[in-house]
Amino acid sequence: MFEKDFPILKRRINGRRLVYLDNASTTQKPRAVIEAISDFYQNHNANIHRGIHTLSQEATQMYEGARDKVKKFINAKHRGEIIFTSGATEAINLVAWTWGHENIHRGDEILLTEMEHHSNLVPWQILAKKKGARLKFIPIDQTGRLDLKFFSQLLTPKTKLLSLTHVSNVLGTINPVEKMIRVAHKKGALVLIDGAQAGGHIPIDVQKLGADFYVLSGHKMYGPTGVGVLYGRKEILENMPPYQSGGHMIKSVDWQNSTWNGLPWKFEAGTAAIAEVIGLGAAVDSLNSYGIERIWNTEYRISEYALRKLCKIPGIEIYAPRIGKDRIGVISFNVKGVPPHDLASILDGQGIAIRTGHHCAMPLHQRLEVESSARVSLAIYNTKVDIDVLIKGIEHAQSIFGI
Amino acid sequence: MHKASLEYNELVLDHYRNPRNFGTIERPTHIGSELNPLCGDEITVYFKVRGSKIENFKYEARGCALSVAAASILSERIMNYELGIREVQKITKADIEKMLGIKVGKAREGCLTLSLNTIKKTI
Repeated sequence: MFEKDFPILKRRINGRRLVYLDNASTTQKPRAVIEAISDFYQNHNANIHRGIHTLSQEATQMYEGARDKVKKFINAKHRGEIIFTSGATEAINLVAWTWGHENIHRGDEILLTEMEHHSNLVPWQILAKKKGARLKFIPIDQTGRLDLKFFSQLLTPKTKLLSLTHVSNVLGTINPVEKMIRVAHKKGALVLIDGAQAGGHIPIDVQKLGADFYVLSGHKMYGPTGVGVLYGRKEILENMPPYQSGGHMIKSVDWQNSTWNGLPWKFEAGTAAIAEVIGLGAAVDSLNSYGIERIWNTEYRISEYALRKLCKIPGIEIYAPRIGKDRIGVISFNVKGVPPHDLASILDGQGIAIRTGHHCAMPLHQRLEVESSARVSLAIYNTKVDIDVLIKGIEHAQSIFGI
Repeated sequence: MHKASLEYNELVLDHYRNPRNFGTIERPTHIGSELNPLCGDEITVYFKVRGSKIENFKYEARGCALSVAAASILSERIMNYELGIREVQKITKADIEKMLGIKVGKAREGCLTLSLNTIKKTI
């Protein structure tokens, strides 16, 4: 019933109805988001925070209005805690290059997990190398969940930061971050949560979680590409040095010195992605109108159906928790005898879009002892019929490969 | 369905299942490796070259059916026709398509040409 909101779902691919199951890469955009961007450029385009003229004021109001929407969406305490970035990747890099550079020293430890996306691994590798700090990893168990008995062991007085994903982009596992944050805080570590796969799929309440930093990707939650969010607790952000510098992030500048603007603008140098931020605001409106609990339940129901059907395919190996409510509609798998890349190619011939490869999680694939995998990931517009088409497609690929 | 039948046929699947000249060479004169990070295809090629003559060629490949089949059919062509370095350098993507009797789209070009590019770079 949500399909009508998404114009692209009318597309035909290779003569077939598009069955889009690559939502963990990026979701499709509802009409409201597309129209918000087009409305901004057609009726309100101007730079923000600078002009006295009407358009500039309208643009500023729309841009800052989006900040209020995001603040409410993740239940932040202050609007200054919401910083717009180019994406989740930039949000993590911002923390690494500012807070990290000031607070991580030789011998310190940064605790990550085995299920991190490269974007929550590589920035910490660079920082650790530069500072002589050490990265440690909470392992995963056989069911695709974090093995928490190692957590308290790995968390030491040297741990300055715990940085982990809310939801795995490969396994679909929802991590018990609220509990983990409490434990980490007791040991004096700060916690960053990578919410790129959580945003738009499960409810997020940063105050309830107690997260110090929380990052979101706009385009993975029905918004445009090129925009993401860094949430940070006010006390921490206030003490952090700026990230990029230039226009808009300053209060005053003379030839030798500058003083910084207040939050959140201290971290938003240069002209922002104004239209994209406004588009993200529209995406949040759409999410609110669907209802995040309803989205969560709908996707869960379809993913249960998908798991049930996929399990029956002979020779399939699934890398995801199969039971329990602590997972979302992300299912990675391999079909014996059909390399994932070929599978995706054959499915594309039938209008079905899935992702294959290592999904930007090469170490996790080494841990799973597979080269690559195929991944099906759901969004609000997917139906049981989509899953039926997928299953038929996989069977067709098996028949091509003589299985 | 027609798209899949353009990219896969019995010959491709046969070469994928039973890759010819698969393996390594002792004391090769040339070795080269490449990785296709997009899909995890991996290949290492081993040559014994004297002057411009290829005396032996073997490879180890891991990945999708197209990349393995392409490496296999190239090895067959190089060894059975006793191709020299100059002739190998002239082989194109279209030649591999012709050898395998398929036509691949842009998205799969990298799979089809991984072995050829590695070979050309190595010798």
